[in-house]
Amino acid sequence: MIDTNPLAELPPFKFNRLLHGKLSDDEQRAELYRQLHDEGRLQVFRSPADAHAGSGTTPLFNQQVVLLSERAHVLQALTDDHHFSNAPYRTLGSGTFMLGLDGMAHAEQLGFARRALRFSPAEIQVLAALAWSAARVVPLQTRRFDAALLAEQVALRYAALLFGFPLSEHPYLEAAMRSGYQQLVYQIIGRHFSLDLALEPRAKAAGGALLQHTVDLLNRYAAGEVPDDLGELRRAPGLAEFRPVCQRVAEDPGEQSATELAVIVCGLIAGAIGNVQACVAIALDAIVSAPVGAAPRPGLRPTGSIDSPLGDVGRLARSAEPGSEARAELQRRVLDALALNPPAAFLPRQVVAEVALSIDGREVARLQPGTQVLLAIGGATRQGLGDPQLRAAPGGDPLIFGGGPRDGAGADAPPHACVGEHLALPLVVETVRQVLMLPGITAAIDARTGEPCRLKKTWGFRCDELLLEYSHELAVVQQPLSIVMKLKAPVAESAAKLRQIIAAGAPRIEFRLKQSQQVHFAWFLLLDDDSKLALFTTFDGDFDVYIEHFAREVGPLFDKLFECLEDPPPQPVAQNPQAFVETVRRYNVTPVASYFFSAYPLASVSTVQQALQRRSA
Amino acid sequence: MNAVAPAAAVTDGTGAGVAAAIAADGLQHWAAYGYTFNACRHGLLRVADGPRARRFLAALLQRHWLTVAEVGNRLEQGPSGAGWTLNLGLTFGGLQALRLHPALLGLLCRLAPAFAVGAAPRAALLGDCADSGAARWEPPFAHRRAHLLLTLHAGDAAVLAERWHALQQLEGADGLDGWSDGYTDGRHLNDDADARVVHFGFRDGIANPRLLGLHKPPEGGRPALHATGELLLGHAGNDGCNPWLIGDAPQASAFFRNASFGAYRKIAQDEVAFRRFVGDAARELGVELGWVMAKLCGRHADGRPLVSDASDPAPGATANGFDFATDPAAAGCPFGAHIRRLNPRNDGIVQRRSRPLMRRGMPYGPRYDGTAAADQPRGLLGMFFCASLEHQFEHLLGAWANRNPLGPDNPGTAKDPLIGQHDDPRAWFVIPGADGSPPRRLSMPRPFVATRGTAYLLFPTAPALQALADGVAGVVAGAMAERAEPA
Repeated sequence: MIDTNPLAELPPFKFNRLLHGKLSDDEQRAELYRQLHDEGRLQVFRSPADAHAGSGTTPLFNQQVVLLSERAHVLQALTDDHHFSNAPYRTLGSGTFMLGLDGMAHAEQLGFARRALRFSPAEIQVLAALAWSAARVVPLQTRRFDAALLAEQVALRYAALLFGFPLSEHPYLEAAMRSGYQQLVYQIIGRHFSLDLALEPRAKAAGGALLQHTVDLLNRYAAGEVPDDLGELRRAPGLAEFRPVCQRVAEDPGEQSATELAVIVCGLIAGAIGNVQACVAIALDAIVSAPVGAAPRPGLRPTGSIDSPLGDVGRLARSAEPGSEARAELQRRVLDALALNPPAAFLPRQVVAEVALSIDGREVARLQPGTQVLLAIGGATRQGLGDPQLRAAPGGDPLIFGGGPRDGAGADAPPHACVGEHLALPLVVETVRQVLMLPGITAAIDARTGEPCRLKKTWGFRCDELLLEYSHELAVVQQPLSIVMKLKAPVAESAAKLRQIIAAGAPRIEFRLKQSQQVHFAWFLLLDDDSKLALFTTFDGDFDVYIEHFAREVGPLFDKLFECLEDPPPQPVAQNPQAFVETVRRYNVTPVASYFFSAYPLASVSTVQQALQRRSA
Repeated sequence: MNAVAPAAAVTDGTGAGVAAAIAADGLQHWAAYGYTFNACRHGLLRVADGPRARRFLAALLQRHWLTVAEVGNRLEQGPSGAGWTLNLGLTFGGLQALRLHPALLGLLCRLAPAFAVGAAPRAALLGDCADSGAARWEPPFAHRRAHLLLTLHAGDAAVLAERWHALQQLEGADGLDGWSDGYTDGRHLNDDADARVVHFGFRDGIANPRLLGLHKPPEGGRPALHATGELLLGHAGNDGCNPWLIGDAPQASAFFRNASFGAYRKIAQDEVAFRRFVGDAARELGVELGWVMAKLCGRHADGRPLVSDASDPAPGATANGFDFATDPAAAGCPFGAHIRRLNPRNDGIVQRRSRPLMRRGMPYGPRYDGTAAADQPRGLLGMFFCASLEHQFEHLLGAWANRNPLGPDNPGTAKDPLIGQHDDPRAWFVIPGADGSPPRRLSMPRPFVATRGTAYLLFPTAPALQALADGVAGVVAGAMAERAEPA
């Protein structure tokens, strides 16, 4: 149990590590919030972070930070700028439109941003669908995939579409957003528990590059240029009138310079990307990878039938077209998961005027000006789960998707439609839905522990990895094989021999490949001045099954080829099929970005042949 | 490493030579012949104390409680004289816990990677997703938890309980955990051992493969016997390869010889949902319930195949000598039907390689009767024996049940109608029409079964188990290790 006054109990270093461990673990963190509430106290800790960024003082445990996890305290800190300032956050120079951070942004910028971000729900839906279909291409090439990475790509593609960045800007956007978000999370919480001096320069460099590109882009839009990508985008149904944010602000810049506009644009994207990514990862972790024994929802099925909570949510996802009841239900499930673990788990504030805080009417602390405050959003949203009004709101707890207390009279004010709920939530729900619709979607199992791979987070905040699996082979039956092997010295002699063997053996290869009905295309190449032999094929089905089959069927041919190649597997190949499979696996080169295109991904060789037979019949 | 089995061992058409060699080795009876008993208990146990667990194994063997095969007598129905049988399988973790020599463990990693890694990480490959996913399996099936499976067969539950109790009294039994909560009981739904029925209402146990040296050829000679190596390690398989005959390590070969791999799979069956589906489908298509069930399975509920086999089998005739040559367009038995996927016989499957699987399952839960008991949990305690989990068990489930087998001209996209993890309402089970009538199709938006757990096991022979119990399985393999890894 962490004491209110750790200084007397543990050295700050040890205490800091202990608290870090608790805050980093979803369950321990929730338990800590519960304890704090039950015991009616605040958690205080000492941080090595520099209280005055850039002052150059040695980071010691020289700073006291108060963790506020009580919903009322969090709401007060977010809304009461008389006592709380956003100074620790502002140093980052970015806005976050979906964090419930309205108090952070300058009102003028916020209003400006809201005008620039006014899109119709129909446009949003189309853009979300386009973002998904663009983002899925690379991450879903393999059976096991990182849903956090996929979600990041969805957010990046969406932001690029929404803001009007051409495809060529994707690498800059990706680099800047990745490092920018890391820096953001570090600034919010990481710096209290660890030191990463490399983050800031990296974020600055990447952010600078993006800023430069954004200024150029805004200038191009201001000059009336329209990138080719945008022209193409407007041909998508429902987007004929679409005007991306960069075009809007460039055409109607108000009092802002191009640089100021670029800062706002980059800031808006920065908060969105990381948080959309986190929302998707957290929701999928809760729905797909939830630990054993996740109980089916009561009353859904008779006792003897197959309990099927995950199957149910898969079916729900399939019927969750935008605007449907199923969509609302899916959204509610996403929001429930996010209320337990909000995407922005913490926010920083600084006390500017003495303020008394109480729990259940009892004063528990009086914070002095200058006190650093860390708002535990998860503590607040967990308490909000008990509030039926909050759960009934279509956008859920305003602490998650913005809006909320700032415009009303405290916590009871009805949430308003804010840009987060308007722009980010549809994307989050659509992405979760699409992942749930992948065939055979399931948690990846860690082969070492046998446990489902859960969402990996840093500092209980940044979502780093969520491994899931799906039946990739139900989406594509073909696979590429690209073996590249070195020729034995003397190379020229080996090359000549290989040419002979292949030319002489071609009829047999031809016969076997035809007979196999498993290979679409196959060819050999001699590469790099005849120093390497490459075999490329496109085949149907599982790698091991395919390769082992060929070991048995054309083993003698491979035996001959291996005479001219370095590092051959045990021979004869036909009698050592498993060793042959391992050798081929070792020399099989994965395509760049694992990207493999097929015009007819579900057609096997026999499907194609049968169709052709029918046509000629 | 691999070598073709000596031709002499398989040239004897009756397999008598193989049988003699096997009989001497004391293979476990269950895999080869199965039992006719009505009830069974599967206990997944965990080794808490290696030396004590080895003592337990020794005590069990000393009492001759392990049921080994009487191959010489060709007792196809198994030894029922004692009133019960006992068999024992070990997971890779179990072999580790009992201190099998690392060289033999290494051999397993290389030749039987699925067994070595365990069933849970392989589950997604078989299509076990959503609520069938390994993350949701019952606790005894958790990854690396179970070390050994003790399976009792007997006439009734009382005998099972009595034998289970007796096992717990054996010396060293306290070196094993899971006696009280690690077991599941099964019971056949009917008492006629020659006409077993499983949940969903189908006849079962009709088409198990027969192997050279173990079984009599079927009357009429069809289907042909499979090579012994499709079930027992150390013999050549149908392709002539014998990966478990390890030329430079006879001791290692001896340890694995005549062992089988087994996949123990607990499958919950939602018969209420299945019956409802069949009823709805029959109404929708305007056909009899039995017609729908037959098209889904590929056999009528009473076991008759859907293809005409020379003469149309009389009611109750559970022919197995047929192939699909008379049904090339699948007008009789749909390509997507359960039995045509999992045993394509002479269909033009890509990679013409048969993948025989010895099925030794027993249902659990009460027979569905449409009354209040309809809602009780029920399913199958499946045990699938083979020589290669990857090429037989896993390929059947992953490539043939969860996907369409490559080759046959199946226009449908649904998974195996009975055991598939259906999750796509746009996937269709297609029933080709007879005599040029248009095909009909059914959508299966939800599965009728859920996997509750899978365990991959090795069932060594009695002498191999004895070596393991004595701790000499390591010693005898030592010589092999020295040869394989010169210092």
